[in-house]
Amino acid sequence: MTGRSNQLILVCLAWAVLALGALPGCDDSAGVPDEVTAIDRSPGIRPDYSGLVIPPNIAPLNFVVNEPGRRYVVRIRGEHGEPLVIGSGSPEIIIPRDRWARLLEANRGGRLAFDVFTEGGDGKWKQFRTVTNTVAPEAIDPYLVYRLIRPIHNSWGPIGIYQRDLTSYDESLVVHNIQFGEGCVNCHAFNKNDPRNMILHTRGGTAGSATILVRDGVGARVNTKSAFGLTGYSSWHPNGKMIVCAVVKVRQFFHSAREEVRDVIDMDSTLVYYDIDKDTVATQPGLSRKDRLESYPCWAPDGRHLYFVSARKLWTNTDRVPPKEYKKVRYDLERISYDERTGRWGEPEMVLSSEETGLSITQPRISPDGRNLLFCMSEYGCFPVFQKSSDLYMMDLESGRYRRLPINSEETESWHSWSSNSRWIVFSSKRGNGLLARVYISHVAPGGEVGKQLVLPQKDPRFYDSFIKTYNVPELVTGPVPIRGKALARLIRTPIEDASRLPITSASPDTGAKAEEGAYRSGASRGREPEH
Amino acid sequence: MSSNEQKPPRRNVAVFFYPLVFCLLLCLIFVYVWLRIDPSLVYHQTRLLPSLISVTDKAPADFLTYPGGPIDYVANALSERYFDSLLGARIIALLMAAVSLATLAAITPLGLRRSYIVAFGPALLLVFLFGQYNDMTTLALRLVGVCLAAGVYMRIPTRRLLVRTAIFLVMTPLVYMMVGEAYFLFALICGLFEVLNRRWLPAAVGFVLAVLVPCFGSMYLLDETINWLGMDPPWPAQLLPMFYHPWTHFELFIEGEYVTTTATALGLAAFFVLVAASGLSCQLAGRSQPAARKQAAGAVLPPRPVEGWTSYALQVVCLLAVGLLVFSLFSEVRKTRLQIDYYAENKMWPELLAAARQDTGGYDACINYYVNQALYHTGQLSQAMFSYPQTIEGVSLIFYLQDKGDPCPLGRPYFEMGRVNEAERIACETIESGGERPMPIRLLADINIVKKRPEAARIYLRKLRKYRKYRAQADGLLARLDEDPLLSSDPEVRRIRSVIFKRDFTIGGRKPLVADRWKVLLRANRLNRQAFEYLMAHYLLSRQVMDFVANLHRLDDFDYDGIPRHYEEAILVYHVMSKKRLDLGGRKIRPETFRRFAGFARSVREIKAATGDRRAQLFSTLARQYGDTFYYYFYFGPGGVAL
Repeated sequence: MTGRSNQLILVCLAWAVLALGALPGCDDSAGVPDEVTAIDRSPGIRPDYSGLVIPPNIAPLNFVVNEPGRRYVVRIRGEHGEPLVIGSGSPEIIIPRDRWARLLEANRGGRLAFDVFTEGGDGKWKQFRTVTNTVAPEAIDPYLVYRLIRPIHNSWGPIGIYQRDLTSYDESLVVHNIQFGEGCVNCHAFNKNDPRNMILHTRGGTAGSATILVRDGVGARVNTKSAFGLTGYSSWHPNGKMIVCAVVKVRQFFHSAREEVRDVIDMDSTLVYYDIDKDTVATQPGLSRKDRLESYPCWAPDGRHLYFVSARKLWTNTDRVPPKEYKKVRYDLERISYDERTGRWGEPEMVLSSEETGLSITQPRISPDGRNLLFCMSEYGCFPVFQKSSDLYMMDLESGRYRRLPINSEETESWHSWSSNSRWIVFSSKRGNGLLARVYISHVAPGGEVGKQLVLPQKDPRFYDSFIKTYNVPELVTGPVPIRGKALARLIRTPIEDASRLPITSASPDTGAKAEEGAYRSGASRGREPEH
Repeated sequence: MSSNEQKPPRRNVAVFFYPLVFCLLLCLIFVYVWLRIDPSLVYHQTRLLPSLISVTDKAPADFLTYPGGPIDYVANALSERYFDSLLGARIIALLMAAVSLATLAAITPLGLRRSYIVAFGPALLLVFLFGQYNDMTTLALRLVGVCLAAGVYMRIPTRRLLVRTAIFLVMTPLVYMMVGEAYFLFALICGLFEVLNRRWLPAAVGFVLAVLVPCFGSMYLLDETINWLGMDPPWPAQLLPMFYHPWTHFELFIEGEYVTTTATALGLAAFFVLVAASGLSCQLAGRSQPAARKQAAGAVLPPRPVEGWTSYALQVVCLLAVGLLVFSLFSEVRKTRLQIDYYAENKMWPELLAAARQDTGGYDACINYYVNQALYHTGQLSQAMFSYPQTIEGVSLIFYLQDKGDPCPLGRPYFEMGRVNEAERIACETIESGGERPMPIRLLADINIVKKRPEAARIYLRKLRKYRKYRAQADGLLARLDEDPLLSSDPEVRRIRSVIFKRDFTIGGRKPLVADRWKVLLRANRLNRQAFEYLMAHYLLSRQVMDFVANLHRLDDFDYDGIPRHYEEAILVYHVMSKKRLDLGGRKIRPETFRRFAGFARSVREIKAATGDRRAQLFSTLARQYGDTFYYYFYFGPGGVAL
């Protein structure tokens, strides 16, 4: 008995040692050095967590001290609450989550100071200038839903939609394409940041194209015979009874010398609306003009206007990709009125013309309080994520004035969304590396001022150093997605004949979902010959 | 006991026989793995496949969170050393020793002491599978875990059913978390053992849990990740231990260019046959020993009487037979093909050309492409490309890619020639179609350096350094990037920047001529020597002699010493075809080229005049004498003009 018990105990001990060994080597009981030499500059820290406005409910901002030293001490203090002192034998500073959360909570609306100390090889300590951040009074929605994907071109491998608990580092799978035959999964859209109301689209793979509708927490695969076979960018009407979708004949092409290899063009596009209760799809003339390409719908929070972008269609042959005029395609920002009571639509009206801006306007997103409209502008085209020139702009919907935001970088900014309280935006940006997008969070003050962006914090502060995936379509939601994983995959795999070919207008593409459609071809086309 | 007392010398033989065989076998395995299999090729093959890739994304703690994780961690740590052939062979030999000893620990309580030699069976099977260039480290470690755990269980010194069942239940989560799906085998062995001892309750529990634990484990513990290709796992798949590992994508059946699926399938089948045979022999042993079972203290069966010399001889013969079978099933062709891929990745061009002269089991487009790459880098593409078998797409890979071949081989040459954006696209496609692999990751790092995106390059290099073999080169490059972020002082980087496209154009739906691949590069920089040689090689391979001749003037842009041999031969063909003399701008065709061509023409005339066997003989002589020339390829090569 004793011999065998000892064996079991040994096994358990070995596991415990392994587990402890895997934990980062930080000592949060360390003290602040008594004798220090003051250094009159800010310490190098990575990620750049200085001068930020941070959510009071965000996970600890672990970071790396980019200064030489053999030991490191960081003190985090605010006006209220117990300061945090973290000692570390390595430059990685791992902040204990509970105490961090208490400190943030105690200092809502106040300042948070980070004192960084390093011990040199001679045993002497240096103290750098204090790094100061502000804790916002308003919390950010606790969950972020995004897609993780490697930089893909013609074919794709693993693609997953994940949700991240922003108050911790917990990331869990919403759905992964390997669960439905390696199709593409994209375009998740929520109604008013509510995870219980979501639309999701998949394309290709063994399950074919599927539109999944989650309404009040109950999921179903939309029958493409009675609804639509292919959805692109979607927007829920605030009443939760209608979804407007862009139906696009999207094509990808490549550049031989431009820094970003990939480019995308909508050869044709239109907007349709899906009446959820009636399970029908329709469009109307203002949303599907023959001579224009409509896309990126976005409902105003009052439900009385649908904002969208549209561009003049400069070609007649939709098979030549790209058309000669691809660089001349610039989208205008428009809106159309809608009377929920009567179901009547008005006429499109110009909100901001590309002629005026000289740039192409895409991805309009209105803050839930209805005050601000956040959008992208880039040199041309409909797909800002592949345009280095894409920047974020904000329009005050009361005055109609717009401005380029200070959070922009030299690289691409796109895929932005608002928190439910209108005080936070998240967006993806390729800053720093030019190729792989990361998620950034910025505070929006009631007056519309946008604070410095912070990168989505990770438990391992070196996480992004070797992470070769890119984040896109980050959407803030108020809780976890109720249907996910195998349950969601099962819905996607629900067999429904996708024979629907919904005629929109004579000028618009049909909506039949075929492998050739979409920015990327089916995974079955792996290893295609690069043309030219 | 009494029989042992009567025959003490045989007992002494037993004491020395098995350790001797064990040591000899280990030495043989070590030598065989080191010199014949070459663990660096196992490493290379494994990194061509996506099975281990997700491992690089995981922290050590992650391996404790899923069944089989701890062993995956150790297996990955071990197989990361295989790039060093000698060290790899040592590790594999020691692994096989561990497997044999663990098997011994498991079979002894089953009453198989008479057949200790059976303990070497799993190790030999694993060596066979290593010889198929599958990394069997995980499987080997799982077997060790299973056998040791089963050995511990079977030695529990109590016969009380409830206690034994309780101990089994306590061991279940530990073993399952340690060995993952291989728990199936552990529960099966324990169940068999209990059947032999007529303890039906723990036996039933063992058999039931053998099926239920891996099944429910993969359903619930792995729900968040990936579950048997995302589908609800079919029951038969659950019954096959190690058939597919959802978390690491480990799969024994690998559809790949370098792996014979049949061989691995046979290996797996043999494994199950072995398990079944072990079970059967246990049964038989059990039936023949009712008295012994009764005498068993606790659960351990008593030793069988020691057999005579015949038995030892028979065991040695069996072992030798299995060893010979393993040896003979090894495929030199597969090894050669892997070597070619390995040399291409490591830019070992002379070695690649030497390997290409061996039997490659069919000279496909990909090997052809690598050979031409090696020829270019050794300055022989225009001089000796027809010394190797050539196919029409030997420099273009058109059909190979259309048939969904791995685009990876195309990436590096495109990059070197200046088609950097397409190289980027190809590298990304390679990763998407075959998983994250060191080769495209390194290529992406180089591409981003050339494109002046040092931080993106760093990200790929930090990813690359997670592979032990590539750590030093990644660290070296990272250090250089710290000093010179654009690596402007690097001559190769400067060269590639000089040949990349200066003016952007789009690449979309239309498919231009293949030759345009290189012509546009020459328009961007007429001094792009690689583009020139590939263009000319393409014209030669596609027999476009007129186009070839039209581009001969480009020779003036480079410092060729005279006219390269194959170009001379093509010019002579042009003379014959057009009946015109070409102005070579002061260059001259060497007399020996003229002489050889004249000899070729004479031989062809002789062949035309000959009939029957004589004709075949002459044709054979012609191929021997002139098979390395362009004109032979032109007239008689694949798709050439028949006589």
